[in-house]
Amino acid sequence: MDQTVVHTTAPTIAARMRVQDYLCACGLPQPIIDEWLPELEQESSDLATMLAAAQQRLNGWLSSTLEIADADQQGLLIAHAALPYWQGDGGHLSADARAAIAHCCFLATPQEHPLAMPIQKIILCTPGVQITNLFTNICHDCLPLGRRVLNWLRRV
Amino acid sequence: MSCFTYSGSPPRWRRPIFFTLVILTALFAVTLLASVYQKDGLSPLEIALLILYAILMAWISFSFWAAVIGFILQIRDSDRFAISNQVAPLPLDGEARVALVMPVYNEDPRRVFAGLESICLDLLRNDAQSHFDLFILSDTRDPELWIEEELRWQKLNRTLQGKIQIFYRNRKENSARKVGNIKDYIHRWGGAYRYTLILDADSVMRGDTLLKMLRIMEANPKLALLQVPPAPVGKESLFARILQFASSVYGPIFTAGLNYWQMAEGNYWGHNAIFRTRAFSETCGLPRLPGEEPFGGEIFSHDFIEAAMLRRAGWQVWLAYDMTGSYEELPPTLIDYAKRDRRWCQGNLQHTKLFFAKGWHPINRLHLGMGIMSYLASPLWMLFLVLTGVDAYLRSQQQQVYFFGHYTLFPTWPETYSVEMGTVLVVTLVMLFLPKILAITLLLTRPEQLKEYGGALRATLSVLLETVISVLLAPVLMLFQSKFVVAILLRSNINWATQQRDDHQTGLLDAMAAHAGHTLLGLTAAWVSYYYVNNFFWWLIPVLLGMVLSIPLSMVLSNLNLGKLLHKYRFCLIPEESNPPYVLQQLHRLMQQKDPLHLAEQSRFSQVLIDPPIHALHLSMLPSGSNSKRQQHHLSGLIYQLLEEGEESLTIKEKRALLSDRDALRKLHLTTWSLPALDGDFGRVVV
Repeated sequence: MDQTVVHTTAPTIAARMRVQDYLCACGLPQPIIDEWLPELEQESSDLATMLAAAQQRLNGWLSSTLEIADADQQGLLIAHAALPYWQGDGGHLSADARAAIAHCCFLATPQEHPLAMPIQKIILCTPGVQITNLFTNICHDCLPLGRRVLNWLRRV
Repeated sequence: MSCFTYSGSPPRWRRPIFFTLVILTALFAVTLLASVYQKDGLSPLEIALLILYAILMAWISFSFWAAVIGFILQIRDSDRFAISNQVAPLPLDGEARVALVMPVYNEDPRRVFAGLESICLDLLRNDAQSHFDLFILSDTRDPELWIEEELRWQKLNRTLQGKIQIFYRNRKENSARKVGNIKDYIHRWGGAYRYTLILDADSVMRGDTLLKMLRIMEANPKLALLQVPPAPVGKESLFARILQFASSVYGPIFTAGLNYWQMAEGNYWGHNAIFRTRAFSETCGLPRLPGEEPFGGEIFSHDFIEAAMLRRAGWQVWLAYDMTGSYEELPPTLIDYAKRDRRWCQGNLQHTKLFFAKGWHPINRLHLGMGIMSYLASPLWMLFLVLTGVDAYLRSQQQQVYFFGHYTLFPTWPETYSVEMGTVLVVTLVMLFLPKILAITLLLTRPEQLKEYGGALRATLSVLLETVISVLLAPVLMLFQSKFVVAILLRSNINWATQQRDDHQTGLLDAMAAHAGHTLLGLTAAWVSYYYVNNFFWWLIPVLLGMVLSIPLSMVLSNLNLGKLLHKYRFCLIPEESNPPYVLQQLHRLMQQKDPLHLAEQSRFSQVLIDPPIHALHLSMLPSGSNSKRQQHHLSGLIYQLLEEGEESLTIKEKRALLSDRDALRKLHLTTWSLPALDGDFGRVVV
């Protein structure tokens, strides 16, 4: 999939605006965006590279602010998803927000606690099978009109 | 509080009394009819009619006696053997944890989450939250609904601030439908919960009811499954209102009567029931049946079989018939009701294969038989009517001979059987309508309760209205169900589509498509009977009327304004409307208020690709896993397709494939943000 390169390298200003929009859409506080943008511009003028860098920076910022281990991708994603709702004043996450994510209350699934569910045996007895077969065979196979009726029923 | 010690076998006299009454009543009715026929000797046609009548009478005398006994139990207002008498004291063991599990499949996410939020709020109100976690087990295939479910899950968590744990997962493959969905939950998380409570997508349960169910389970270590009958609520169409009223007024005596004889061999109705997770996991792993659908393959109506399997393993299954606070919704129109019936019909007829299986308790076998019979009864009634018509025609063709032999002065007058036939008719009608009279009588003896039904006059008039409508609907449902039974016997399988649960009206074209055959059949039967068996025609009018009027009837019954008008004037009122419990008040509030989740105009699919928090939320909820090279190439192709041809070019399955892959989504996310017009460029990108 690496060849999925779209030829849309925007001019620097447009790229800067797009990255600004992106970080804003992420829910990042404006003072932090203003702080990051010049640094991101210095790193690259290519939009795709700038966006990737912005993402990386965001992840780093989330992991340091919320004390999430770098390897905890799930935790980072959860924090990222909740960012717009946890903004504190002055461009920093509130203590509540940090506490909430620390408790992982937004974890989609809990830790697994498996329980086996073995397939049970049901011994079918011939009378049941025979009665069912009798009915279905009479209706489906033996009646000359069976198939025609079936087709009609499917249409109706 | 009265307590009982249930040893595992029911009181010895209950079942003999009940089944003797059923058999004697059926025998009495059949003997009456036989006395009419046998005077001239029995013809093959008459023998066939007698056999059919015997089966049908046994069937209706079953529900008749259940209603009568239920009435007696209700009017005495005590039942030593009600499972709800035995509850564990508070506080409960901290390990007694319940997973409230809601399997969903392409349902309206707003309604699903409003129901769940209402339940959670009621649990918090009852301070019972520490025992309950909630699982939304999504089998939703539609990508739009899938993403909306995730957004609403996040919103609900924010609203409840983590006071109740709410979990969500969307299954990659929805193998084995609901059974597979629940099995997947048990496999992954079942070990953490002593109990599991199954909710339907439209289920709502009161917090105190949930807590009481847990307490009953704690007090009865042999009890594996407890079913609380769900009361239908919340619909406004005329059809649904009448059914809600009927269920509310007649339901209690039928369920009390049902519990009278089934006791610890109760049944499971698929939802609004709690089970012991370990007992369920150890005994209810359902096998595939040999052969193809509709009779083979996956077991559709799994609930009956699961109850039978639990009983087979020595566990008890009870119906807490006297507990309230358990709700569900009904299909809003006759056509939707018939569609649901079609699925249930297939599930129940599949049980013919399982009916004779080894190891079932006789009462479980009876449950299976009753399920089968509830659908087979319709073609049998139809056959009975046709044969009665043929019999009447043959009788009308007989010439009366008054003088036998030569030169006799004394004529032989034809015998009249009007008294016997009248008695047969009266017995049949009594058995069909007496339960309704008993139910309203019971209500009239309870003034406080009566007020919640709009008072004595309105409640009585509502019963009359319900009776008229049910008489008109009976032949239409008979035709629907007969058609379903024939279709299934012809091995026609069904498409398991999502139910249309929201209120909507049936248009003329839809009504004609569904009922044109019924009308035509009704008119033909009327014409034939009027010209060939005139006497029979007049008897047949109640049946013919429903068939002939089925199109306007179906449209009128779906009418929301008529339903609201009834509500306004307090007809067909139910206690849940006149004095709604907190949980239903919350549900109503949540559904009426402006949707707090501001859904963007763009598709949810686009939102996942563009909106960074939604993208992150979705990625965080995807299970980890890697794709094969072949799948990766397939996904690459889909990405090109999206960019070159636009979102519309992708099928639901293709969108799901993209939405299920983390790498593909990450790439698409960055690619989309690199496009000048974001998703506006989909379909215009030259790659």
